[in-house]
Amino acid sequence: MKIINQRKILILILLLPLLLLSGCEDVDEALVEIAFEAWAEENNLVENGNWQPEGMVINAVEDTLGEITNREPNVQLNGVDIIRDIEKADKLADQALKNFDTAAMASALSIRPHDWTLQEKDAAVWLANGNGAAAQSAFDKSDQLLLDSIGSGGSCKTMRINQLRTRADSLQKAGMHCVDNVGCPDKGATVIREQHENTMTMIEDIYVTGHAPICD
Amino acid sequence: MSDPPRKKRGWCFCAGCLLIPIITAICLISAYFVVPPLANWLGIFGPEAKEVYQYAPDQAASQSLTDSFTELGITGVRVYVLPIKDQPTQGAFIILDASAGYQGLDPLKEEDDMLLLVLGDIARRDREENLRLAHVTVDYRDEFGETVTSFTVDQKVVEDYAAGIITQKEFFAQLEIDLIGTLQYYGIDSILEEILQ
Repeated sequence: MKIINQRKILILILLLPLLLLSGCEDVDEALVEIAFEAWAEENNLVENGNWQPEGMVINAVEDTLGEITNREPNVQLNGVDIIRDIEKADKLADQALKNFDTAAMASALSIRPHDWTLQEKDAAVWLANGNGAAAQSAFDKSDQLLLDSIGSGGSCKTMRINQLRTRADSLQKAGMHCVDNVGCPDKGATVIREQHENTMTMIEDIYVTGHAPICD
Repeated sequence: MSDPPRKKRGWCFCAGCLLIPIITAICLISAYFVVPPLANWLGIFGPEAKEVYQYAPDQAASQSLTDSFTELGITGVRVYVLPIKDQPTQGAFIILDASAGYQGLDPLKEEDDMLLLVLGDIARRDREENLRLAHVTVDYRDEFGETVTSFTVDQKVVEDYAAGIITQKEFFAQLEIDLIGTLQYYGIDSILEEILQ
């Protein structure tokens, strides 16, 4: 009986996502049971139907060692924290774009310095603040990070189109806030509009010519 | 017969008693804090997640996989596909977020089929749209947005299961679950207490 209770606890703990994947109302217990048994046997928690407490300890130690040595599955699981970083940085950047707040934008960039989408928003914030040089620097960084991220895989042309669409979107948002925002410099709205038009032309050129110069 | 004179223990003995644990503690602390960064620097251990997933998400791929859930009527799910540094592949991170309205898959459908359907659709999009997925990692968050548990599986295993090459049982056996994180969420003490009862 003890074994059954322990197994039930572990089923709930370790396979909650699968339980939820099955829907809360009509839980398919058989599916969860199969999932648990397969996982537990593979991880030496259960042997011949018997609970192996030392299996839990061995797993915990292996997990800790995996954390230290950056074992591939541990790195993949730690990637979940990176998603939280992305969400946090995006939130900060969107706020910065709304208020043309360069300090908030710097905070977002400090969380994800190699993320070109943030560089695009940074450029829009600088344009709204009337600093064309800083904006151009952010665009250049974005281009370089895009090329770095493509590395040895992916379609450069497709990625470039996505980047330019992100640029156009950020500029459009900045332009809209610029009209509403009393703090926007005199020529801010005009510069942003011109840059937006240039970006749209660049996208069109890629579709017409079939190639993106940055990828050469 | 008188007792032989006792050897006098000098201050060195006491100091030795103290020094041994102190030096051991210093060595252990150094090993914990110094060895991993040093090994990383020397390339003995692999890079950390922060470095591996440093680049911007692949927006088209992320949207495509998010659509996979939306089209099946599953809300509160978003997917991030991140390029893996120095690799031609990408990692898919599926966020099942109860705080954003995730309530599980459609309970009106057969559960086994639904799981297979989702994984099959991910495998199909990966193949047809050349998403270059290396792994699928799932993060389940509660109604407060806190991670309850997460697990990861190689894309090859997803493909094999979707194609019927491996059984459901073999698929589940290949999952890597964040054991420590999950135990921490539930409170490791209370769980161990229950197990030991």
